[in-house]
Amino acid sequence: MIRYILKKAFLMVSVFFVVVSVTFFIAHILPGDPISLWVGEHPTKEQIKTAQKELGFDQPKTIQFYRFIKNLLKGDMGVSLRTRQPVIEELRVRFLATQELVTISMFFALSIGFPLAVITILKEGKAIDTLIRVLGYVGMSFPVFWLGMLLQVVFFGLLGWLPLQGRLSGDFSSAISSGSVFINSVLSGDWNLLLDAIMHATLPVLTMTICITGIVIRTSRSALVNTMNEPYFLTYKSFGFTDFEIIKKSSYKNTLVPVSTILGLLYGMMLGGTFFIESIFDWPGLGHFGVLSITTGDFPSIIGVTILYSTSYILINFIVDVLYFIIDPRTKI
Amino acid sequence: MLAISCHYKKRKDLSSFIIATYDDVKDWDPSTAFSLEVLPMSNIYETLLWLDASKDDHVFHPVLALSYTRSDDGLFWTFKLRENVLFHDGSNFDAEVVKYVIERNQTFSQGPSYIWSSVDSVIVDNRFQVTFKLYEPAPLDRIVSSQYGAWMYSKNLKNVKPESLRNGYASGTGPYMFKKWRRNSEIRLEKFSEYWAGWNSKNHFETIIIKTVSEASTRMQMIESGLIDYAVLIPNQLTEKLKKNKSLRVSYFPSWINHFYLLNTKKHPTDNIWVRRAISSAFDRKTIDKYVYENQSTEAKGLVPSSFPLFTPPDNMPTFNLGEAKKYLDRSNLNKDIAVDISYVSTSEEYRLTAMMLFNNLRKIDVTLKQRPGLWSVNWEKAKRLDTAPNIISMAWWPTYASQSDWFFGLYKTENSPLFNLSYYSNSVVDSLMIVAWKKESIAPEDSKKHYKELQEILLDDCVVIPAVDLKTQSISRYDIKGLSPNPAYTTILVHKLQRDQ
Repeated sequence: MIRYILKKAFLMVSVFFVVVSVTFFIAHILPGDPISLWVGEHPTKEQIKTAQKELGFDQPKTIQFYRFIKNLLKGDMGVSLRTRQPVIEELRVRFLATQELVTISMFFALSIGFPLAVITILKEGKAIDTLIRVLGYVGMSFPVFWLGMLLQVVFFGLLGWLPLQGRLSGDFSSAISSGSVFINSVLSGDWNLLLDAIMHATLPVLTMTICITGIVIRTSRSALVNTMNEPYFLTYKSFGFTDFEIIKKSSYKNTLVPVSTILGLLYGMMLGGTFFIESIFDWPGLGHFGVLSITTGDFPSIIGVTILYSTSYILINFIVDVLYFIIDPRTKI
Repeated sequence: MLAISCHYKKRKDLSSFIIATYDDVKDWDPSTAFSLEVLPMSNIYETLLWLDASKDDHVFHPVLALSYTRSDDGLFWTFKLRENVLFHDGSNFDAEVVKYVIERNQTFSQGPSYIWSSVDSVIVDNRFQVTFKLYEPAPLDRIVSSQYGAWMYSKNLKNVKPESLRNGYASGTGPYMFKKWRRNSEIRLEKFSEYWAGWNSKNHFETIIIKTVSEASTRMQMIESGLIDYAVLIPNQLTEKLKKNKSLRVSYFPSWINHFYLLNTKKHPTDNIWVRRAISSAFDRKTIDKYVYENQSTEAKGLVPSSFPLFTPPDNMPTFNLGEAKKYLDRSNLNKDIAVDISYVSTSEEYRLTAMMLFNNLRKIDVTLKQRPGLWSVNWEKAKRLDTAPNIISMAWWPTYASQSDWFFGLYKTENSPLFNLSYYSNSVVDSLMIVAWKKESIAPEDSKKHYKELQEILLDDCVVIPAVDLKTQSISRYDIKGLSPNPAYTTILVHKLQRDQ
């Protein structure tokens, strides 16, 4: 087990270094002049020259890369040219906001999607099976942008039940700087803060959950169908067990490997794919920050965001790999 | 259920003025802030003078300077300062502060610091009088009233750590004090009780909240529901719906931003003046103003916005005439199959439609227009190198302070490697004329006016630029907000002058 983890960890570090190097050089050859972000809209030539010197952009790329790696090892990713804040600080607060959104949505998507997949298998060909599958397809087919706005119009515009945007009300504003609002509110026993956070998270979480539950249903259903065609399943059946009993006792475990693979990939994709949801609901997360960094050519932030995404992706997949080891005893052989 | 219903649509506090804008503040240093910061800063800080450009006679109002005089040669400017003015941190405003601010601003190599480049020294005459000594005559009254880089701030700024400044800090003399900044979410300013001008209106606002709401449709829902009092930048197609809402007021005011197209004078085939003239004659400005920009603009009358100080329309503005365009093309002596390219900012629907219109018109005179939409930073980078530069590039411009020179120095002054002179234009007469016009702005305004007109006419004659439109500023507020008045010199809202109609 330890050897397996060490092997995976080495691979993880290698991938990380390649990603950092590639991102650094791609970000530096992207067309556009990010220096204007630093010096202002109508800079003079002297201002541009001085800024290039200040930021070290006048140095050869190799020296810039060496300095970047040196600083990165110290935990310094530089300063965002667009927001003028340390990139590491921007990423810390925003990543936790996005992670909160994605984790809660994922939890609901799994809690709803997996049981529904089981129902579709048990009631295959019946009306309920068709209904669930259609709902899954519809959820997946909704454009996120459109769905988010529709929910805003209904739950804020018409009913006024839920807040339109933001992560917290103004009264609780200081809680945001700490990062994870939900965990902090629970730990501190601040139930008003928790309630406010829940109300603000409801619409973005609902939007995201609707969009991914369909994927969870489809993936789980397909894994279950494969499992039900396995010889052991038919053996159990010949002993007189019902489909539900077999799934409950054994088959669900066999679906965990393909489902966890898809979920790992999906989680990584969602961390980077929250741009629309974050824009509509003004959720101060990483997706919105990443897209703005790319469109403005803010390359310290582009590199920072890419490193963070790739690290999360690598870590998630590492966890999934370790989970395989635990879930599937065959990998121990 | 009824108690829960509409809870989130109710405004808790009507003594706050709440604005929703599309992006956050980036720089809390009043000397280098050069963008959306003007909205909070104009309520926190003050300048020596305030330019009222709402009417034809542009008037300088006293703010922190009560009066000013200048020497005949325009090299010495003396400002008598207001007494008994307190900064939010409790320190006093006086001549030493003015000297400190200008000298500190001059040390920066970013933002609007260059506006002080003509200042040689600031002399403290007495506690409430300063004299600016200039290297060359410059319109200092316009410079000290700039919305960028001319705010007077407390000397205690030197004791503020960079981290504190980065996390939000401000100490000015203005009506509102900085209270809190929640990054990417909101800025909160509170009434400064000891504001020198006092608080005469009983319905004034106690607090200003500036919310960052990146999505326009969300800002629209917020203003419709009454969660906010003022929404910044709602797309034109959405404002039609808002105009029908009786609880909202949608207005358009003149601004000092204009859109135009630069023609590359060094790149084939636009290095041929007849080709440039043909393109210029194929540009249907009236149609663009009417159907592309709709109520967001007025047709350009010159190279700078027509409400600008010392502006006189040139006599040779190009007009749309495809017959003339064809004749110009014939005179170019170029073979058929003429192709030109245009680069424009892809995020702007107005630029895209304008490029489509030009494409269609040029096709009628057998000129092919290749469209190259892109991000401004990318377009600009390519345009700065002649081998990758387009023949035509879309431009938007606004001044740092109220001087036409900003357009001419920035866009048409000879440059070995162009920065914003993306037409690669070089004309020694134009170069010297713009310097003369700028120097005479204060000492001989009528002469300056004539020179600026002449400059426009030369540039139009050489067909370096195609003027398009002067943009308008959109203002969308709740109907109970009173006191909003247009002033193109400042892209902000002065909340001290507003009140809620009770």
